[in-house]
Amino acid sequence: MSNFKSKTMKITKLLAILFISALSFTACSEDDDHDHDDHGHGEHEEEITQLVYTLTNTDNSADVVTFTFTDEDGDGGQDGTKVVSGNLTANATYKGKLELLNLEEGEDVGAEIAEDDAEDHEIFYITNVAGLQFTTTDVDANSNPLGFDTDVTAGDAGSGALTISIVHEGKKPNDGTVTDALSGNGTTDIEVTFNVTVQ
Amino acid sequence: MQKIFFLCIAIFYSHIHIAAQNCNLNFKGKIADFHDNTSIIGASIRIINLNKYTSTDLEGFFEFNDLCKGKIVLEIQHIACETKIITINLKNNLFKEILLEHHLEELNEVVVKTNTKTATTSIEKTLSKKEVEVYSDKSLGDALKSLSGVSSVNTGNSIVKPMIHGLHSSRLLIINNNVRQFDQEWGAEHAPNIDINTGGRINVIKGANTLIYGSDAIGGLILIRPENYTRQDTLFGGTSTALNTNGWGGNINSEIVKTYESGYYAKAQTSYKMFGDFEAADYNLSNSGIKSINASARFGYKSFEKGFDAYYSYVNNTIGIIRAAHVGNVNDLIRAINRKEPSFIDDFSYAIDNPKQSISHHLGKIEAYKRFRGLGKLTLQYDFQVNRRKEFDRRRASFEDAPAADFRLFTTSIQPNLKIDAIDNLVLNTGFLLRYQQNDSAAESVTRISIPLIPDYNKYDAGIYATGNYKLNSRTTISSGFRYDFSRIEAEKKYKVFDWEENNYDELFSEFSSGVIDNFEIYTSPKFNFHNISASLGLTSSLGNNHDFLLNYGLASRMPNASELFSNGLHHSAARIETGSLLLNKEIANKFVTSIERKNQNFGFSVSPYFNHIKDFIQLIPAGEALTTIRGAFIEWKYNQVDAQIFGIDIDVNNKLSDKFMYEGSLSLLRGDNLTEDTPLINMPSTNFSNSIVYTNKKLNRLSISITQYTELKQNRFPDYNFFTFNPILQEDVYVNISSTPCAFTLFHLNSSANFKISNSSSLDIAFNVENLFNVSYRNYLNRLRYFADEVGRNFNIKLKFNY
Repeated sequence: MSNFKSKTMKITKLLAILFISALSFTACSEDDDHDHDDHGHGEHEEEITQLVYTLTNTDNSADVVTFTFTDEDGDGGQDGTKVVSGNLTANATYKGKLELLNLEEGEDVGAEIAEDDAEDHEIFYITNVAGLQFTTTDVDANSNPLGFDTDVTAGDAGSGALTISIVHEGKKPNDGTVTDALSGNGTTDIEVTFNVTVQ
Repeated sequence: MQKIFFLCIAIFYSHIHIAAQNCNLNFKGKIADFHDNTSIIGASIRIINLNKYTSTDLEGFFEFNDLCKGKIVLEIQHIACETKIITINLKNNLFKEILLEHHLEELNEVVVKTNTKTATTSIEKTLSKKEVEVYSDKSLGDALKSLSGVSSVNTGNSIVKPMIHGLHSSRLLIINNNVRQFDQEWGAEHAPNIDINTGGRINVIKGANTLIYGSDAIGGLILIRPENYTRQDTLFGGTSTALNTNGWGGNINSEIVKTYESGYYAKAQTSYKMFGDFEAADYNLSNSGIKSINASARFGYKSFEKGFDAYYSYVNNTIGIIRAAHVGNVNDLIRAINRKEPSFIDDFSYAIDNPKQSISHHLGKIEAYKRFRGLGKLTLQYDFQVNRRKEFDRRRASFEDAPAADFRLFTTSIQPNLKIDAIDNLVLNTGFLLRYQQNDSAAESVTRISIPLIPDYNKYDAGIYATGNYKLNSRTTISSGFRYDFSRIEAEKKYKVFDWEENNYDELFSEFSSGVIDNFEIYTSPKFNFHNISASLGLTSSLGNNHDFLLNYGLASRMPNASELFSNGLHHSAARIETGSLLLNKEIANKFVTSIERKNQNFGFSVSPYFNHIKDFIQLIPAGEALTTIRGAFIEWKYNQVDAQIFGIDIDVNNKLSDKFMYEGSLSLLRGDNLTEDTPLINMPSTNFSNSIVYTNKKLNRLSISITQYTELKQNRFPDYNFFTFNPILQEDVYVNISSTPCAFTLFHLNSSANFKISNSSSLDIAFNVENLFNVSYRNYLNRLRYFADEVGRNFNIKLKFNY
């Protein structure tokens, strides 16, 4: 009987030890790099909440047209809003500048991409308005087109759509079309369509 | 010493003396089972001090003649029982009934017992340890798929979730070494983190009548059994390795077991698996590799009266998801669907790049039992699990190392169970469960506008149950059970104010709102209580000539899981935004399964029809509309509830064709209906059947060669959630064909194996297999990545297992 008792005591002790070690084990995993290494501040990809495409007439700096897409609450939630400030002037030339911003952090994500990751990105401007032409003027480190800076030529009056598309890890160099850029393993990072009028 | 010597001589003389007096005594007896009094046939009885042997006949009787008066020491052995030694003082002719403990399943598993079922009345299929070993370098889901009525939901080829009768994830209970597995099983792309090499046999229970494990087994139950060891002093083990041409990888698994006659045992096991890119019939599946490190250890003591078992296992998986499956928005998805080949095909590589999943799972338990004479067995189990899941997406270069999703799920539970088996023909089980679960989601981003897919939450469960098994007569057994569970979930979740208001949550659940709104987000703490009731009824009746009839009814209810309630976010693998709903109720299922079976080596079959009605079935379906973000359009998938029914039939046949040839076949038919909307249910397995011819030659190194055909028909019954979306590049509306199903396919597999003896205690098993013999290119409806790439092509596989 006493033998049995001591055995149950042993088992109880063992159970207790295992229980405690289990607890301490889980306690260890509590701080298992969970909130430190993986999630340190500044290690994160900021969501782009605003896109601003500014066109400035090369002959008339007062003629500025902006295309703005804003989605302050990010993916999901409320749909983004699009604002086009005005019409382009027929047969004029413009300098185009694209900005990608995170409004919450006040961060210029576009500048970060241009600096750190330009080789993996390319920006395309697609329109169905006859005579309206976009030419990329900036390049990445491999001398391939990037697309934050553009020369824009407006033709005769007309209206249609302007789509700004950013391809991530697409084919570079390509034949200049978004379709070719996406023909490999490229994916779409940004795809926004505005109404555009030339008059 | 001298004294003992003289004593021995004295006894010796007295023996001779007695023998001379009367040596014509007759001793008859009967050996029966302690619990149900059935005769034990073929038990060996040895009179140790006389070295006389006999064994019991077909009625359990035995007889010794010409015995002398005096003490005899009997040793009774039966393969399925604990050896018993008794001493009898023989004076006259004697008849004695001797009872043996016949608790095979709890004491040892040296015998291949025909009945390895979980409960007598349950309708189930079993994979033996040997059959499981065939899949040593594959996943649990792959192994179970070989059973009729079991299919799988895949994400690529390494993430395989088992599916029973069309149901998966939270609707299946997976019991891993007596512990209910909790590894964020809610997601269809979250495969069970279980190393198939750790356990023994696996039971798949198709009826919902094992209430001891939970009340929410709407689809069924998968039991991964620990192995049992004999009580003897041995040390044995095995090392196996598998090599494959497809993926140019394989695994190595090693285990060692030490057992003691005293009842103590210990086991250690470890395995490592590595595959590079798998190959479809026509191209490389870039970034589909897998790396897996596993280890487990167990230690325990086992006797009839008491024992304990401590078990710990660790699983670490890194699984690549084909690169081509990462798409930016719905137009990328359409391009992927329209392309015949994946958009990204690179040379073979062992590297696992983003997108990928990296998961670790710890599981520990300790179980102790004590048997009380005249009552039964009391078992107490404590367990814990920690699951850490990190999912990595393709992101801008500087963020590639930061997971897009990072969850840690901790679960712990304690459950006592009392098994009462003292009453003849009746076995009762009763007990309760207390469980605590905590999910910790690392915020996806420091920018507050990003909300984790699954919120932080605490969950509390308490359950109480009673089940009974009553043997009506030698032919019929009935069972029934009842269980009640209480669950409470308390979450801390942020909602976008817009979503919170659009769903009317601000009015319906105003009590959850903290009122704090910060940067378009509202802080809420949803809390829900659920009361679940479940019940089961079972009947098994032997019809004679090896025929059995079984009938199961199960009532199961399941509360919505964390994903169904709270999920909210973007899945890049199919351009989808998944949205949960706080309005979901619990699901209630009524399932009937019946089976007519004949268990026989020469000709056997099982025909098992089933019907499952599920009220408030929770499904995730494309809500049709495309959600516009700065990235373009996405498909919004929403959880909703409908009434559903799933019915079908599973048929298995085996037939001995000749001495060495054997036929095996199976067929599964299933139909799932969305009764509310009068459409087919989404993601239901199509009709599939298999036939195989097996050649075995036991004399020639147990050589076995088999050829198997497996066919899956096209699923013609699917709900049509296709829609049109505007493509700004093409400037036109395009068709989003996300619902259509792939074509039928037929695969052939070749398997062969042989066993070579090396020495008395060691042997070598060699197997050579070819999967997808004709290198068929095909896609599978139940693969979430079916839009992007074909399934795996031909594979040559060699397995070596060294037993020592």
